[in-house]
Amino acid sequence: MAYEKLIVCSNIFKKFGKVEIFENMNITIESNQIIGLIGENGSGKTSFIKLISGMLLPDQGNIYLFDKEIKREKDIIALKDKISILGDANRSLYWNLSGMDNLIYFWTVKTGLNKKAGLMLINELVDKFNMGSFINKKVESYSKGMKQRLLLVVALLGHPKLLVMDEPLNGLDYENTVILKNYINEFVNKENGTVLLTSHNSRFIDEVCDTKFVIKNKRIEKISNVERGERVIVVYYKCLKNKDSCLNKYIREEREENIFRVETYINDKDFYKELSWQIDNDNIELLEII
Amino acid sequence: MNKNINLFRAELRRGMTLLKAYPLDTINNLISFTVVSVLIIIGINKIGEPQQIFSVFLFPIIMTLISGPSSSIRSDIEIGVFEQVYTSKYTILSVGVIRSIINAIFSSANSILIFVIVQLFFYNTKWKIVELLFVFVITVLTSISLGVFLAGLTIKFRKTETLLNLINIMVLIELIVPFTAMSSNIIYIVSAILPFSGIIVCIQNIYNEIANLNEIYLFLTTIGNLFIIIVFSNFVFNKCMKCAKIKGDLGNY
Repeated sequence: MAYEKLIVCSNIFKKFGKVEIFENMNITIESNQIIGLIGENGSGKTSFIKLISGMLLPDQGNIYLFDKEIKREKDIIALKDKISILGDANRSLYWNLSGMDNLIYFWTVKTGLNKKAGLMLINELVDKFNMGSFINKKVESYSKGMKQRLLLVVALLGHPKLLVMDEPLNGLDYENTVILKNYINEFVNKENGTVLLTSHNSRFIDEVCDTKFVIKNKRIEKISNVERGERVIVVYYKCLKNKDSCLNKYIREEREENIFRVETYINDKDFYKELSWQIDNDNIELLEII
Repeated sequence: MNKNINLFRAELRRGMTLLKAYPLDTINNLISFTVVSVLIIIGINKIGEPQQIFSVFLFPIIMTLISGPSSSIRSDIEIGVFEQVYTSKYTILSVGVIRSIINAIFSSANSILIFVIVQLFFYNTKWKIVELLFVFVITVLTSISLGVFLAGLTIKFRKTETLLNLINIMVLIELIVPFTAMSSNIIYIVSAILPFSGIIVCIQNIYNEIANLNEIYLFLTTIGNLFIIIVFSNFVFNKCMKCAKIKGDLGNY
């Protein structure tokens, strides 16, 4: 069954103590696409994921998933096999079990079916993600990339319709990033799935996502339907003064101490204005523009 | 039902793998628990009544079932798999309860060992299987319900080990109190208040071959007590779960 509107959040208000995370937040996410969610640290990306997975209840407002409102525990359980969440790969796995033991265990936990029913799919996925050489070793001996691949397979075990990835690139090398990127495309195009991912890496989001959302001013706003591979400008700069305030509204990464990489669309006029202002005021030293 | 059997098997497999992964801890747990229990039994034997000894063998099972659901939640949070388990086909409570039943099965090795030691070295008693089975079922249900109560508190307050220790001490004290030496009125009052006392009086009565389970009042208070604990524990668990979801504490350290 195809769900046109996969996630609908209407008039969501959420506060933690005195800190307001969402104020009258509305978002509609359509199915069968790759959605990127960006925002600064603490802006509410993880809270949004928790809201749609039922781990967090809004103070006000309604959340609909697959056309059903999630309110009570039983509504959430009924939808659990449709959603898979990929958290931090350094955690999210039983490190004292082997990769295969993890897969067999999570197969039952995610589907309610016995080991026998899942072995074929498990072996298929192990082959597909080239994990045969290490799958029987304990997870504690895995590298970050191995864990991320294993976690991706765990997330795919129940044939989910919606795959939520919270910072999937954390610690991934180039090779594993390519594997992940290819798989995300395959999941959406061949398996009619939907992927919602959060990342600090705006280049990755630009390359992979069909639709981008940003959390800004306690709301989630749709940026635009980006063309995959749309041209971006990448700027490397050294922060000379307060590093928390220079170009901080753009998605940036600190590469070395005070050395930042920031990227945006090539026609982002506001960015150039801000960049010039920062240079003129000796706040930053421009290192490289790509 | 099939779904829960599949989870039971998966948890059993996981539990066995972990037992094999830490052999020293597994053996040490069996030995140290048995030594402590035997020391308690020797102490009771010197100064107490023989009927007090017989409920001690239930202690490992009670302890495991009470601590099971909360320690399952706690360990999943610490390892980091809580979200994975939460977004699964099962409720975290059913995963926790099934895990604690499996751990209770593992810790029944302790119970059997203590039982055999008591039979061989202290008192050789004829056991009434039907009565004991009744007592055992009530014990398991009461312990799981207390476990659910603690699991709820763990979800909300995250660390509940001190409360668990307190409950364990209370249970141990209840297990060795010579209830049958008290007057009937005191027994009735105590059995209506303390969760395990009715069960222990039943065990001690079975040992003494007095009254068996014919005392309707005792029987009813024990069942009634269980019913109240089940309702109360579920209420606390659901309340704590909702509260954690509103405050955003679910799955936090």
